[in-house]
Amino acid sequence: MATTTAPAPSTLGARPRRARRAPGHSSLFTALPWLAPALLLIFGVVLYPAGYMVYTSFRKFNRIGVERGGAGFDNYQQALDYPGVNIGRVFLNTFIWVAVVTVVSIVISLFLAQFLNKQFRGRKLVRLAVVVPWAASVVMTTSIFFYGLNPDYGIINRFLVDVGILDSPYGFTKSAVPAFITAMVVAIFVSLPFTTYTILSGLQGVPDDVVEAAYVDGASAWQRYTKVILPMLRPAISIATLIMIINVFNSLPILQILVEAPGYDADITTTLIFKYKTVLGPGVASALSVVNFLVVMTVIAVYLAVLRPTKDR
Amino acid sequence: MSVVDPGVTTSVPAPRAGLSTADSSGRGRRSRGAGVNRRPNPWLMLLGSVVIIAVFIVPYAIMFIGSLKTQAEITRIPPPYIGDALHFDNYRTMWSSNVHPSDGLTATIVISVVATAIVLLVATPAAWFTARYTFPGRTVFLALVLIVQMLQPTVLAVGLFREFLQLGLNDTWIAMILVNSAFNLTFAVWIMQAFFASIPREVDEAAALDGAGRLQILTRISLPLVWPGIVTALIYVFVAAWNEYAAASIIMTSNDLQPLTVALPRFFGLYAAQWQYIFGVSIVAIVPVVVLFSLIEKRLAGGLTAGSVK
Amino acid sequence: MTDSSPFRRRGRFGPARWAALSLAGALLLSACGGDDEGDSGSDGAAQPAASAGADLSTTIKILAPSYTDTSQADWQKVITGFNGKYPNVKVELQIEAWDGFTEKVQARIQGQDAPDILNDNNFADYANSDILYPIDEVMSPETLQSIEPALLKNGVGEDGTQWAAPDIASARLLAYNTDLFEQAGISAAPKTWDELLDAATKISKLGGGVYGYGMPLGQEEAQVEASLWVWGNGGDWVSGSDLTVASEQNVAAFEEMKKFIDAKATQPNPGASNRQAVADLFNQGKLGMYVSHPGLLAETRSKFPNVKFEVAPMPTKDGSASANLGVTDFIEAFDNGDEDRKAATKAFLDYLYTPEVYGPWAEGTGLLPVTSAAIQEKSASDTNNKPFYDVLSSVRFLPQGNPNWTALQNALQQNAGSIATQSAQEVLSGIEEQANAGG
Repeated sequence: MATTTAPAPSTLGARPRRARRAPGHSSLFTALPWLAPALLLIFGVVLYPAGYMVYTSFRKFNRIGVERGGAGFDNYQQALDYPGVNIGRVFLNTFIWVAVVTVVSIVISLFLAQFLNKQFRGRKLVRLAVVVPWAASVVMTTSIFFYGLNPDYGIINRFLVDVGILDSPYGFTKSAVPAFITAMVVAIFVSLPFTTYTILSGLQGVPDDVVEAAYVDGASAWQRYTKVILPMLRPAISIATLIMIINVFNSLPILQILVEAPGYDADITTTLIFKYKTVLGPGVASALSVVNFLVVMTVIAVYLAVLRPTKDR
Repeated sequence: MSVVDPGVTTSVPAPRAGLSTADSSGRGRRSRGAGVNRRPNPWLMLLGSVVIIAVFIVPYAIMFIGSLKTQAEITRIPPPYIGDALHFDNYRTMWSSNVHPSDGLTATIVISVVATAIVLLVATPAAWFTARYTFPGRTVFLALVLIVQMLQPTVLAVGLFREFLQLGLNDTWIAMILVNSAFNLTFAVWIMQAFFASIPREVDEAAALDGAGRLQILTRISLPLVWPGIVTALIYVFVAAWNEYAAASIIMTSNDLQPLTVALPRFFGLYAAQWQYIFGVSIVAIVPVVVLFSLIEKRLAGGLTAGSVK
Repeated sequence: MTDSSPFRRRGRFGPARWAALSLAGALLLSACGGDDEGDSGSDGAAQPAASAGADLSTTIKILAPSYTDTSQADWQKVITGFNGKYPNVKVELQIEAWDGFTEKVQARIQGQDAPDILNDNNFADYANSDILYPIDEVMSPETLQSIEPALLKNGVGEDGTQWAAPDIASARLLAYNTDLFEQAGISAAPKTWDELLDAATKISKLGGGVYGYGMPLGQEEAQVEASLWVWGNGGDWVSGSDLTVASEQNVAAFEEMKKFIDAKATQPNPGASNRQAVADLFNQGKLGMYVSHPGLLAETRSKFPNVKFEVAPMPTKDGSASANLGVTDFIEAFDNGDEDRKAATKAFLDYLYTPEVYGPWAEGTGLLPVTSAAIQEKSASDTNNKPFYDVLSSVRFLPQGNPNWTALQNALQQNAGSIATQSAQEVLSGIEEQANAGG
């Protein structure tokens, strides 16, 4: 591994392995000055607003955000049963969004990383190209697609017509399903650098002699990949997947910018929160945020429980 | 990174039954010289390279070419691929356009840089200490770090907005700096902790015997050893702050204080959107980061798998 | 709020607090209260402000949208003039883009930092929250009387209180490309829906990416386009305080819109098109007709001189009903519980509507003025917009004062575009249900 000489970390599940070398002991009192600033930020800017949001979700507000007493579960009811919003569809969209973007990004990245791990002339250049969407902010990248796919003056639309893929410019962002698919493509595009590089670093940690040994043993390329390399990539893939799930679930700008379609058929829970905030005020938006968070927690818990990516091999 | 020169490979073929069945037609006679790391077909690699570069660069090429068009050209129906002339002067005129690029750029840079610096200052001691010592509550702290990791500004945007209203910090850079520091802190702690844990304890112990205090051990001994890993962590923090959109879209309401992520989309739907300026600003913002990334390209991915919980 | 924060309100207006430090005994203002006021009555009206304002020293805040590139400068000019009379009233100006403007206003309100003077396009939510001054408390009767009565009534809330005063107006009329009309063999502007459909279909058949009628049902202005059709069929959104969204006339109107879409007489994707996108098509000579306003047409005249067009009233079902929509933006004053600020607000607003001040300011917005005198003057001098001035006294307004309107407008913006894929009844019932739930 070129950059990561780090052995298994000492935290959490891995501790038994390092028990021989237990770190030094210290009292909480000694520890506090080292942790205090971090704790302050975590409590002040993450946990406090989280708690405050839960409180807000039980308060009644008018549309412009003036507080009007307690609300019980009214906000939750309204968040989940607002006329015109097919909440089932929104949850389904959310699931599709997270699953497709995560899985497709990882799969493409497996190929990309494999390619980039080979030695060839110009590799540095290709690797740099892959980095560019990472360096560009998501909003900027999305803006290119929003402009390019405009049916009137969009350059991508014109290109698709000129090469004969389309008969006439198509409103990719103008109706729900195409807009949703387009947004997924853009989300995958901007995710690829991260997933590719994570897997690439995993690949770099695969010792060559092991692969060589398998080769010499007569394993085919496919066998070498699935039986030798892929298992060793497991930690990298797990981490990439976990972080992707969290990020994709919380991804807002791509859908918010790209989808011009009326209605709520291309919404995920996250974008719906922001629509509710404007239309129904902070109470309902908070309620949906709380629901949203519970959903992420569940998804991640299921991921960790079912796939057990963190267990020792 | 292949360090195995095919020519030096000395492994002796010893096919196992299970695998050799898949072998056929002479592949069993693999000899030393044709090792697994033989040079790939150069033409295939060239083709692959071209395709990959095209896919990843074309959107930004569109952006760059667009930034050189006139207003009329960029909204013409149908659009010209390239303008009649390359209007590099757009990069001069855009600063006084109603896109107000300097406001957004300044905001984005100040917020990301300060937030990254804060994370460095706050996460390093916490990560180092938890990697080095056990203390009551250590497990709780690490669990907290993991859980908070799952909370993102998007989910908490409404709560953050209301908190900053209470504090009178809404619509300030301070609010955005706090948000970006706090939400990326846990990630940085997570990664740095793994790096610190990788340093043999004997190094610390030797320093302690020489009379070095904890702070000195951290700054003089440990930090220099794991510095590359910390750079990796900071890059992630910086990129996250650079990209932050959800919280900013709710908290930053003044146009002249908004970071680019929120400022730019405001111009998409306006009277004859000035795409050429939007793209120009974006290019100006992207290029330095690409250069930065190219300098540390090798470090980009290392930290994550180092920090992986296996 | 934290004016002391180094990151807050950087730049534009200088340190917020300097006003507090400025000289206490400033110029006497008694002579300034209304001396250059063409309207004699303002003198008396300004008295309370002026007597208190001789040494009126406070800070008032204005929040206004950006109409054009010059909006900032136009307001600044007013403020400079005002400070000539009230040197110790510091005026903090914040100009924001229309996009997301409502969110900004709400954030200021929730942050206990409501602007003293707000220039916005709606007022009902704020009036209903009891955070506005009735506008006649911060404007002299003479100032209010100077405003065209037909427009002034748009600022009346459901409770009959004048909560807001119009500051600029606009109207929507049908703009049509005369070259395309000629090519398609259409001789006169359509007056009825049938004629409109006929003309639009003929123009769409010209081909080459040319479309007949531009129907922007996107999230920006669906409420406007939908209203034109609903009114054209004798329908309306509200009756008293009840919503009548899914009434028979309205459903029939939406069915007619659907007929246009199905006949491909409109541009593609009407449900996702904003008025600007439609205007872009029109400017490129690719659109036969759309409902436009003076600002957009001025842009067409100046930047796309090749596009020849005329303006006509919006066609209605049988040509009898009037479906010309008027829009006004409003001046609203928030109650910040500070008498000095209230007095300064009143002084400022009376100054703003002074003819010499108001005229140039309104002109800078590129829209139509609201005072009777200015309308009269402009309709003679501004021949391009004569058709718009002519209808100003007879236009219909969106039911701004109705407390349900904001919810209804949100529902329309989000859902009216679904008409392309769903039945009229379904869409309108959904909108009504959502609007009722969103109150």
